[in-house]
Amino acid sequence: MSEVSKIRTFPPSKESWGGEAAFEGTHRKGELRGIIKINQDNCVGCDTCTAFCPTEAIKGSLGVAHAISTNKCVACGQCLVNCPFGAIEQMSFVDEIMKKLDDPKAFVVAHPSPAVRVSIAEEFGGTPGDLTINRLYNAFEKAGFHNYDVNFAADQTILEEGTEFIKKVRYWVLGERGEDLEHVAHHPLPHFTSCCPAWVKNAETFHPELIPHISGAKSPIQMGGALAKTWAAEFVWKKDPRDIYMVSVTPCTAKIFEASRPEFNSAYEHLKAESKIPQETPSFQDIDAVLTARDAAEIFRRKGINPLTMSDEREIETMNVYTGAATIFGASGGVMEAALRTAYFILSGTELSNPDITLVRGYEQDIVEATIPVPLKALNGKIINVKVAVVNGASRNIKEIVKRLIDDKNQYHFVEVMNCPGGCVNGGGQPVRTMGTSWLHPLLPLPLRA
Amino acid sequence: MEATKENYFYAEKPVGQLLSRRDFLKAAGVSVSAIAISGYVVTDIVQKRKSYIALRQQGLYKDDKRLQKINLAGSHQNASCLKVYQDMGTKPMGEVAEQLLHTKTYVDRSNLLMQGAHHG
Ligand code: SF4
Ligand code: SF4
Repeated sequence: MSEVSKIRTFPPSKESWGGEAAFEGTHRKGELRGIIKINQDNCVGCDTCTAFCPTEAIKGSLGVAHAISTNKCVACGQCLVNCPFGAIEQMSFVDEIMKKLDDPKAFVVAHPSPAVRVSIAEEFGGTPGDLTINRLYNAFEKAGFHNYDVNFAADQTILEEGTEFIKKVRYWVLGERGEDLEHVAHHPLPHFTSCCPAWVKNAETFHPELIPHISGAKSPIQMGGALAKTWAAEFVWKKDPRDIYMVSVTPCTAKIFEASRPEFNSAYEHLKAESKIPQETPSFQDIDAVLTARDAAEIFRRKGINPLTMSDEREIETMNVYTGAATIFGASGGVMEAALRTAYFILSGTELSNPDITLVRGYEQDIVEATIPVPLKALNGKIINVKVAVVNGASRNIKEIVKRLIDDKNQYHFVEVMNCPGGCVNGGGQPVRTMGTSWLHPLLPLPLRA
Repeated sequence: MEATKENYFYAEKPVGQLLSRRDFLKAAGVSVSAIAISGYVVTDIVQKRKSYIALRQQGLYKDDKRLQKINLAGSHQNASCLKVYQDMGTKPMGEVAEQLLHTKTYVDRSNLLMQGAHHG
C-alpha cells in the first residue's frame, strides 16, 4: 500500500463566515466558505481535479493554476484527496480545539463518525480498514476529550428518518389519511436521504426542485450535537450545556460547512424556550467545531498519542452504544440498508431473517437499484415492493437520477445520495494515499526519473 | 512537531517536490497529448482508490457482523436511543424530537448563483 500524504491546512479567517449581508453568492450569513482552496503556487494546472468535482466548480485551463468558484463549491474535498500534486488545502480548526482542550472549564466532546474508525489507523502506519474503536475512544480520552460516538446518533437518525419514511409510504402508497400524516402531505416520494451535507448543498444550489423530497431528519452529527447539549448534558454528563464543546470528527470536509448552517443551533433554541439557560445567552451552534480524520491525527501527533498503541479494552458506556446499522452509514448504500432494517421491522412486525441487504452495497456501480418486498403487518401480510436507488458519487449521477425521475417519478420510493464514490469511507477529510510517481514516469525528462 | 514527524511516517506528496509547474508543462507539453495524459491520470487514480475504498468498507462490514452477533443489527435495538426518548418524554417525530432532530430549513440557492461571490 502506498503511503499517506500530508495535506496543507489553513485556519479560518474573519472573512470565512462572511460579512453582514444575508447572502453573499450562494452562502448565507455565518456559513463557512472557502473551506477548500487551491494553492496557486503549487497547482501545476494538470486538470485532474476537475474530473472529480461534482459541481464543475473548478476553473482553469491546462497548464494554468486552477481556482475554485466559492459559489458552486459544496466543500466535498474530492478535488483535494485526488490532486496528484498536493496543491489543494483545507480549512482546519486544530489550533482552536487545542486551546479548548487546555481550558479547564470546557467539557470537550469528541464525536467520531463511522468512517473514521476504519481510516485513522492509516495516519499511523496501519492499513486501510483497520478497525479502531476502543483504541480511538481511549486516544481521545487521553487527549482530553469525552466521547460520544456518532454511530449512536446514527441509530437515532434511522429511528427518525425510518419513521418519516414509513409515514410517507402510508400517505403516498397506501393512501392513508390522518392528523399524524398531514406533515408528509407536502413531502412526496421519492424520499431522498439528508445525511450527506455536500449532496444537500448540491441539491439546494443546482436541483432545488428536489428540496421537498429531502428527508427532514438531520444528519447523525447534527442530531448528536443537539442531543449532547440537551439530553446528555442533563441525563448523562450532568453538565451546564453552555460549557459543552462539541467536536465532530469526520471523514468529510463538507461537515465543516454543515456545522456552520445558522439553523443548527437547536439545542440553544430548545434550552431557551424551556428556560434552562438565561434568555440573554448568546446563540451557540450544536456542533462547535469539526475535525477531519486528518486533523484528528494531527491533534494526536501534537499530543504524542498513537491510537494504535492504546489499549483495546473499554467498558461499554451509554454514549458509545451503537448497532451494525449505524456503523455501515460510512459505506455507500449503508444508510439505505440501515433504514430498511428498521422500516422492515416496523412495517412487517418481524426482523429481517438476514439483515445483510447486499444488493445495495458496493463501490463499483454509479447507481444501484433494488426492489425489497415488505409484508405489511397492518394489512394481513399484503406485500409492497419498496423500490430503492443508491447514488454512489454525485459527479454525474445526480443528473442521471433526476433525468430518470422526470421520465417516471414513481420509479423509486427511497433514494440514498452520497457525494463521494464509495460513501464516507472515501470522504474528502480522510487520510490521503499518495499515488507515488509511477503514473508520471512516462512523462518525465530522463534526468528526473527515479 | 519535529519529533512526531520521526515517530510516524508522513510524506509530502512526492510529485509536488519532483515537478514544478514549469517542469510539468515541459513534461506534459500543453498540447493535445497532454489532454490524453490527464485522462490517464484520472483513470489511474480511480483504479487505485478502489482498493482502499474496498478495504475501508470491509472494515465497516466487519464491525456490522460483530454487532449483529450480539443482537445489535438494527437501530431499533439500540437501548441508548430508547433511553433518549424516555428521558426526553418524546418519541420518533414527537414534538421534542421534531425540535431537536429535524430541520425545516433547506434553502433554494439556485437563484443566487449569478450574484457576485468572488472566485477564490
Ligand atoms: S489536480 Fe491539483 S495540480 Fe492539478 S489542476 Fe487540480 S489543483 Fe492543480
Ligand atoms: S471541494 Fe468538492 S465541490 Fe468544491 S471544488 Fe473541490 S471537488 Fe468541487
